[in-house]
Amino acid sequence: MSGLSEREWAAQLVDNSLGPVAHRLAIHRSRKRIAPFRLHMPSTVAEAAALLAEHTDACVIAGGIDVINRMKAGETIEDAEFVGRLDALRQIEVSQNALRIGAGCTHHELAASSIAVGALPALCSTWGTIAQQRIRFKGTVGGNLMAKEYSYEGAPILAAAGAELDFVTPGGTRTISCVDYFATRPADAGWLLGAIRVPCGQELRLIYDRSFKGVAGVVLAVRLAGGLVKSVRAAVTWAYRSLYCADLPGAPLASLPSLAGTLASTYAAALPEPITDHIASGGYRRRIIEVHLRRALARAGGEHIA
Amino acid sequence: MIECPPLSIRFTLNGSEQSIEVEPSAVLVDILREKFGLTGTKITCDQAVCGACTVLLDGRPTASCSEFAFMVEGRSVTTIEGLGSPETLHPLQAAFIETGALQCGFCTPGMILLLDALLRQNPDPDEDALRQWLSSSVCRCTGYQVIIDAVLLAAARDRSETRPDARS
Repeated sequence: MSGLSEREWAAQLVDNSLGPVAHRLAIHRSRKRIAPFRLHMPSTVAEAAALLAEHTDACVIAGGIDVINRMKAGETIEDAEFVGRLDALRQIEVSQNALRIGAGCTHHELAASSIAVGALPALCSTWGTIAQQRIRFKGTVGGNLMAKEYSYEGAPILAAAGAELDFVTPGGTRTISCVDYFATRPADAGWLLGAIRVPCGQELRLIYDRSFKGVAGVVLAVRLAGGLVKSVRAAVTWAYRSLYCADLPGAPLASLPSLAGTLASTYAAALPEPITDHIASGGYRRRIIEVHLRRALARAGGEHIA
Repeated sequence: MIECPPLSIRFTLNGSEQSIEVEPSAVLVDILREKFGLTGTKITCDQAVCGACTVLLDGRPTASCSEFAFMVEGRSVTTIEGLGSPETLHPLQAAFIETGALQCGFCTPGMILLLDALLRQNPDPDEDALRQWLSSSVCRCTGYQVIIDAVLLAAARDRSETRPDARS
């Protein structure tokens, strides 16, 4: 390790495909490493957006769990903007056939919201399973996304559900689909995530098996209208260091169980190579994705297969 | 060098109003332990996973190792010291002792605060709900079953006290 800083050494571990977990283990973490920062506490969303436009490197803090833990690992932040008390960022409403979720809503607030449950029950029941109790009360939906941490589950769930992200920018609101945001990684310095909108005019079946947490998983979203399948989309968790989400061919709902094997193997074969690390090989992850997708498609069609 | 003047914050700690100055980068668990001497709040994983640092923030379990102190402005913080006393144990504390639901005891304060929040939200939890909540606290000694027994005992007692005609 001589001649290398801790961070350089840790980065080398990642380059050697030991993966981000090794990265985290390698870095000495401590609350005592949290460096001083300038704290800004805007009182309105407009003020928050203006501050962020002025300090484009500022870190937005709402729940704070992810940010604090990154700072313990030595990440320095010069300006932090605390938006945790902006009620305007915590509203949940249905508008124009979409469930609009304020970016500052906690995971618990989304999962328990009567408005959200009424509009998209499958999204709420799925959201109620991510993270653990303390995180659910504290962590925010927006924070989960903006951490851009591949192991977090918000992005794949929302991408599969067809969500769009509304950013407050100096030039006005900018809307970008969750899939495009993570695929294109736009230059978003100075953008404030204001809300997440998920279409809710049609029935959404969302199936997500987290039993291989940390290895691989699939979020399957089937949109129905009048009992007919309108779209089938699957996003992958834990197998890549970025979001992977793709549409599947449409099929009659009742045919999904019988077509599940074919659809799943085609989807899995077309995947880019999943990561190989100390947890699992890329080939194993690909296999897990195929199996989970096959089961999810069968469940979406009303059957249960082993 | 970044200048970050201390902030003055007011909050309720175990029922008492407090007003202190904190650095923006100060973490709640350090304030509780070092400024107030409330060492029942433990530090273990230091990344909001293990549950040892759990406190109640407005009645909800929170990882105090991952909470800046300035974020509790105007809010109510309860630590294990605010839940019971050696003379008057909290029902969960009594049940933990009776069932032997602890060994080294390091996780116990956070565990009891977490479970207190559960029982106030759901006075009659089934074992599945209990296991779901317990998944956010790590105990390396007990294997959890005695903890589940303790919570079910405390919950049953609480129900029979608040509803004398109830049969548990």
